[in-house]
Amino acid sequence: MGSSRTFMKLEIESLSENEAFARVVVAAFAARLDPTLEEISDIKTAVSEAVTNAIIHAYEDKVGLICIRSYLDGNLLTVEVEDWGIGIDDLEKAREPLYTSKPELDRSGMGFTIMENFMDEFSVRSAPGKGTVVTMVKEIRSKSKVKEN
Amino acid sequence: MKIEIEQRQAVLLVRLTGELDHHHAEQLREKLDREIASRPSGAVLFNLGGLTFMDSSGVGVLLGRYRKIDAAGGRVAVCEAPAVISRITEISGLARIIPFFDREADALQHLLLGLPSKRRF
Repeated sequence: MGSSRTFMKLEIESLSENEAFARVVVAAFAARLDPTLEEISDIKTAVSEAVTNAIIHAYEDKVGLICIRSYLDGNLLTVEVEDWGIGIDDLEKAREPLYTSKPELDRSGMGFTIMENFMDEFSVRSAPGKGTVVTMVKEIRSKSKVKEN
Repeated sequence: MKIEIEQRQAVLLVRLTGELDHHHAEQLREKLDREIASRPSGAVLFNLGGLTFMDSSGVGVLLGRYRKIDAAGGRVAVCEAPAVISRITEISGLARIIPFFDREADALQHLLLGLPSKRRF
């Protein structure tokens, strides 16, 4: 399995039209593990949530850089979404379902909850004034892997 | 994303096709708020049959319109939600707040005649 480790990096501006681009790129990268349609949909949704958070919350009205790194190792997909924006003051509060700092923008407050539910592992590190990194891991139960076992 | 809006008797029917993310949610919010303000209709039906993707920004814009219309005494329903968005409507609680229908005709009847909804979740 050691030889199956591979990596990609994508850097985008924090523009809302890049949300679709980012999730499609990660889904295409993950396609090498032969994921099911449901798994592809979960990955796209989780990436979309992380990138949208960076655009809306980290950079607010400014345009900054978002870096998306993804690793494939065996049947594990890891996705890291990093920004160098304002950071999150209260991580515990930010992770509460339905909590949003921007209710006036019709935000549902479900971003972190969805990332946690749609991926197998989820963690977030943030430094106020410096930025945020979200790390998500998903095990892909591809058909070919099931047959090998 | 394509947004088609038509009046069906007293119901404003909003048909969405494509991907509903934050980028498109902003456009949808602006367009809908203009339409809702310019028409006396008290009921809005979202037909999501053409959606291929929806994230929490889509949930937010649908909930936001629901709250606005509900507060003004109007009614909202959703129909033909495809399987690809069922997980997000379930986890976000959207399907417990807004009545969901499989068929557009049933949703229209519910809005026009006040028939009870058959909740799927």
